[in-house]
Amino acid sequence: MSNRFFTVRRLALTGIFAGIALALHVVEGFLPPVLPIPGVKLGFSNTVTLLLMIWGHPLEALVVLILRILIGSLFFSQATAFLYSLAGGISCYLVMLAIGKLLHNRYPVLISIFGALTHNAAQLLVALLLTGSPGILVYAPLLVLSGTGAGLITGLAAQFTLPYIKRIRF
Amino acid sequence: MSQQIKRTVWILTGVIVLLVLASVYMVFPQLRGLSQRNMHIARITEDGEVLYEIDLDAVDEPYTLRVDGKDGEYNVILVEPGKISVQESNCPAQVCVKMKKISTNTMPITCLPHRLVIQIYDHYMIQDDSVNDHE
Repeated sequence: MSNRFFTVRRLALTGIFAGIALALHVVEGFLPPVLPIPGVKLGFSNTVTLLLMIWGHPLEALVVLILRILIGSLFFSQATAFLYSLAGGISCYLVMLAIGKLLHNRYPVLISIFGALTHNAAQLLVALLLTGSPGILVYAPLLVLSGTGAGLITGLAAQFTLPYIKRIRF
Repeated sequence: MSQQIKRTVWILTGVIVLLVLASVYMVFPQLRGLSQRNMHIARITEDGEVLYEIDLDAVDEPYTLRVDGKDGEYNVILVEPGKISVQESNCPAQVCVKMKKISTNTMPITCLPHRLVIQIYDHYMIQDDSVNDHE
């Protein structure tokens, strides 16, 4: 297969963005948790996924996402956390892609909120499957609220970064 | 085309607003006629070991607790309804005695030389008022 998609330029940019996403992911891990509930977090590295998806190429966003999850959980967490990350990340990616298509990639805040909500829903589902206790569903409303807030913030971050990202020729 | 996007935006925003409203309704039990009781638990630890756990809201009369260490050091802890403080200590700096009475989880009382920490934890209990009325 000829590498028509991954030109040298795109390969380099993908690497840089994977690095940025990883750095955001790690720095966020150092912050103290806002609420003592697992799963309530900002998800700042999702900004990178969103930016790449809209102003780069969706495939590039997917590569960066998977790289970030792989390297991120290899170094910084246990095996089960990888499963959560992957389920949350991939489903978030798919929903953001679909909503992005619907909105012609405008309104990044809306796209981001839906991504965050899906991410939380997928993680709750995995937790449900792993633990087999429906009791954890009491977290659902809290995760909706935290997801909306986190999606709003990361979406706004993506929107404010847009003018600078647009200068890059993908 | 843009008309169609506008409609999609409204629908999506509506979905989010509905989800958030439903969640707020579920997260805050007060809205459903249930009340939330905030229990203040004071945990007294020495050297990381939990010595006492006191429900400060259940205290009716003030009383004192004496915690003695291995080398003759001691702290006298005053437990009052809703608050807790150190009344007396034979540590040099007397930081723990000078600290105000605490009633929230913001600041723990620490007696560093005696490795004594008094921290208040919030414990939420959701109770159904309608059930309590029949008791």
